[in-house]
Amino acid sequence: MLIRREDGAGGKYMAEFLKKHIISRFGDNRLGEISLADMDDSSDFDGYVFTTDSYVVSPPIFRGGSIGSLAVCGTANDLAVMGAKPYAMSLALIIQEGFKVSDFEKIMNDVERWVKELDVKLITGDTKVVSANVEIIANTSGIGIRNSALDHNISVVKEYRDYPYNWVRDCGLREGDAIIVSGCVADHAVAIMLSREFDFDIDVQSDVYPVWLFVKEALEVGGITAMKDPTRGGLANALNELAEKSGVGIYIEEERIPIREEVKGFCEVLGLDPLSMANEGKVVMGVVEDMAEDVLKALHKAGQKYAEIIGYATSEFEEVVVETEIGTKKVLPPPTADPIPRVC
Amino acid sequence: MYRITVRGIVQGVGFRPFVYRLAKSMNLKGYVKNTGTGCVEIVIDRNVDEFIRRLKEEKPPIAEIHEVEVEEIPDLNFNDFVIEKSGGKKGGLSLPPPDVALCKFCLKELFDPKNRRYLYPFISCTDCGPRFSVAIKLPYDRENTTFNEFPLCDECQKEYWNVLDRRYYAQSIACPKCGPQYELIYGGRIIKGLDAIIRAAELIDEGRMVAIKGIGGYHIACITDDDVVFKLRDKLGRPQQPFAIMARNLEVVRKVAYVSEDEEREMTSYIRPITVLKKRNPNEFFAVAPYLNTIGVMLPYSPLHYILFNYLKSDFIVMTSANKPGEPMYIDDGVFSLELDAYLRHNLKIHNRVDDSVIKFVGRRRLIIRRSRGFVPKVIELKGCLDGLAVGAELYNSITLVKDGKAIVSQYIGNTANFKTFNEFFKRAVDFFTNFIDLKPKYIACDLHPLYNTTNFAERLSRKLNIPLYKVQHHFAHALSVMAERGIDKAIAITVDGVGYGFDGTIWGGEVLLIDFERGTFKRVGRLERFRLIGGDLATKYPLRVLFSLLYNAKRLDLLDGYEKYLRKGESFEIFESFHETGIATTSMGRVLDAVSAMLKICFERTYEGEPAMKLESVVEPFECEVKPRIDVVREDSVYSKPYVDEEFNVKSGDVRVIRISDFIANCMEEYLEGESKSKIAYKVMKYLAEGFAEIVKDYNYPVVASGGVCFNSYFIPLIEEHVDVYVNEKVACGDNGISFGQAYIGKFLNNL
Ligand SMILES: [Fe+3]
Ligand SMILES: [Mg+2]
Ligand SMILES: [Zn+2]
Ligand SMILES: [Zn+2]
Repeated sequence: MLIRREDGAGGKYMAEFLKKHIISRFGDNRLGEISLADMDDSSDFDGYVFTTDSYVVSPPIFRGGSIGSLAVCGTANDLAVMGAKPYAMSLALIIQEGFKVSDFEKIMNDVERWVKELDVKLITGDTKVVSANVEIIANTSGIGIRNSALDHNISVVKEYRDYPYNWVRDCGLREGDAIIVSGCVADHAVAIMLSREFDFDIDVQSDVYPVWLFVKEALEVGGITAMKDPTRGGLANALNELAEKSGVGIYIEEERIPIREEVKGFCEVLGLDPLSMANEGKVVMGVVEDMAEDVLKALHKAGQKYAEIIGYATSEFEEVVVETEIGTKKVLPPPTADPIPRVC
Repeated sequence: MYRITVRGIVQGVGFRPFVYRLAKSMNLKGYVKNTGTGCVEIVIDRNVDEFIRRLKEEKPPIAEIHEVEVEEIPDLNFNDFVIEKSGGKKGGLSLPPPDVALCKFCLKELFDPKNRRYLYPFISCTDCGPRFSVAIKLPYDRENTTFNEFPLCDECQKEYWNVLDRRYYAQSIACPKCGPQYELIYGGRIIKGLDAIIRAAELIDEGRMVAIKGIGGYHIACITDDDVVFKLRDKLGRPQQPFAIMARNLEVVRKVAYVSEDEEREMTSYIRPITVLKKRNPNEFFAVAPYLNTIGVMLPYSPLHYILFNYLKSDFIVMTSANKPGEPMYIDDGVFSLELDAYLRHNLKIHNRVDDSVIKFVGRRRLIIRRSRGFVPKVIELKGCLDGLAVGAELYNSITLVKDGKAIVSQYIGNTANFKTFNEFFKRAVDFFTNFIDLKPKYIACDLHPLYNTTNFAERLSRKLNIPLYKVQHHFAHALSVMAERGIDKAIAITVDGVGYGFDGTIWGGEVLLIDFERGTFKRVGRLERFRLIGGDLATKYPLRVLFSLLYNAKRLDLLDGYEKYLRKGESFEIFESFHETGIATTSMGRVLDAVSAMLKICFERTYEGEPAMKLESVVEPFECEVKPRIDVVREDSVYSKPYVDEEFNVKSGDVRVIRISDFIANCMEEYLEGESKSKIAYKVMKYLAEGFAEIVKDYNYPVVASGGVCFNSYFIPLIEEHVDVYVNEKVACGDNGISFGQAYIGKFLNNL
């Protein structure tokens, strides 16, 4: 058998692939409360969280950013959704021989911009130039630290119920928690497609952004029980992971999910599901019901003006269920990789 | 003396009292009893040949005799013939019969003013009445049905315990004194008893929409006038999907539709399915079945229907299941959310929802479109098959359970993509049936499609029960469903439908599969030319996209000049071209027919499953013509280690014969644009495809089987049969309603592979 594209596409197949070949060997490795098998966004040790991520994107410079902005924000976001403040970072690059220096400079400008914005220290790195047809591949690892906003958040959650975790985990969602999404979905994926071949006359930019800048404000209000950044596989993947790991169902009202009109129109014509499409500057979170409105206000105040409560967790079923605008309910399945037709 | 063992559907159908009455009339001595294994054992002293002949000829209508075994035994002393207590330990599979239409004896009593059940809508006997729909658990006894809320009055008690009465031990027995009652909720008032039915009939005749609770769920009834039906369409959000109608009797049906002898036999059988008939005038019943030359008709089957027609002026009424699109039919007061004019309901609980079954004849072949009321829970023999559970695919779904070499295919469940259907019908059916027959499955079978709710459900359940999960490829499952009916383990299969997830991650739907379990051969030996579904599911909804892809393959996009006006807002052929490559590849025959439907300007939007292809079928007119299918051979991954995916699944390459279609479609379009008639083009397309498949299968020395929704087409299989004989499903649907049955058949081979 050969490794298939789906085995690394961030969906259901990749989870199966990882379980079979990697988790089976190292699954119980852990230094703190989070093991590799937990497949949370980061893992912890001694009051820190640690994560790593690689970035491949074509084209490497796109509407609203570049692989440089992805490399910094993406890894920082995996730390931030643990409630950790991004603290230190590494940057490794694999560059194809012949890559334009001017493009490389643009990418480094983006790295510099977000590193500064986040006040994170880029303290180690590596560079290789190869002849393989890769354009440019980036890898960043990141370390995040405990902070008072996180501690406050967890103490607020504990006013409502037991919360046996030291970080904001993706298994922390419970029945009744409100589900908040921090802004319009699918912008990143659409921007990338528009940056490729399609000649569509709409202006959509990637949403790539370090979410810590607003997550911090939300943590300071408190009551967040679970968080994920809906990157590959989009909102659908993030919600399914939250539901499965937490052992609850999630009920979503489609009309409350913020989506730009032009993104909707684009997806409509191409037959794409915006709920399965990637974001790079969004967070989906579970919040104890009583705190949901306050957290929402904090997000609005922190510039996330499209943030919205889109549904709640429930124990009535174990799927992610979306009520459509015309009132029918359908299951939002964990995406595979590519959209697959299903209608007979 | 002789001991006779009868196997088949012989328990719970009044078989023993029938045997008793027969033996008495022949002056025989001996006994009859149920065995613990679902058979009936009879001992008689003489005249065995005549007895068995009459046994077979005069058996109760729903009883089925599959096997009779006779054995001579030493003489025993009997003074009389008796019904003995059921013997032996409990075991085997003894299910209640399906729901049975009103029998002729009860019908006579129903309209006999002197009878105590005169005009009583719950009249029934040992031979007729609700069965599966009211069954809560086994054994099938009155206290285990929803009739348990209606204790028998003295008179009913007498009938129930009298062996010579035709209501002896009839679990559904009831009378006006002790049984369920109807009432009508209309305009804030409640009308009870017969008046409720009379008033409901008046309201329907006046053009109102009335919900009617029946045997297996609620129907919506209204007259068939266009304006009323269109109002109903608006209300339900079903702009085009045909509604079934109920007709007063066969005579009135004949006035509007052709009814063959075969169709008459089915329509008047105890199943009373909706039968798809050819309209005499295609423009009649326009609103009921828009742009179709067929209409789905059923005859009254419950006493209520007969009483209703007794008071109705209309000869035909729309009788469609009461539900929102994609959702299950209502069986309780949830129906009020439909906001109809009136509700005729009764107080007998429906434990198992059962939709009306739907059949269609293609030539003399009876095809089941929807297998439900009247069929379920009749078992289908699957000898040697391991106990297991198969959960089906997505649309038109059913589940199949196998126990002790017998398969039970559930009632029609429907669209499991809809959460309500999935959560409240599918999951409940899995629970109900596994408990009902106390199944301990050794494996679960599901579809290969990763996004189906049923697939995800099966994954969870197999983890929970810690039993293996086998993901059966959709078209192999279709093929297996015919093979299972015939008990064969090798075949060359034509599987043609709309969508099935293929082993290669593309969408299949026009395949020739070679299956040979003995040799472990599972090959895709033929297929249609691949084309792309631009925008995935959108291409299914808007068939012009598929036409575009086919013309793209043929490099004849120029033919689309003039079709721009049929595009939707925001679409353009330039956009299609620019992301054509991103569309997933398919070999779906359903989509090809859709494309032709768009090409002939018959249908540009699909509002219900199969719409473009059904409307296309309606214009076909056969004529003498020759077509020469082009078939190429390509080498590609097409040899599979198994018909399903499990841990050890692997693929090898092999030769595949590909039926080229795009050039042919482009030529057809050219002819059409030059003035050739739609009917002829439509026929030529069917012929081209049929000959293409026939060409591939005729070289194999294997039985030819065919399955998949395209087999419902009136022309496709008959055209293939001009060249080779074909087996199509007879016991389950050849569409996705029969998929679970095919999936279950792998249970026969799990040990040998
Ligand atoms: Fe199918
Ligand atoms: Mg990550
Ligand atoms: Zn009867
Ligand atoms: Zn009574």
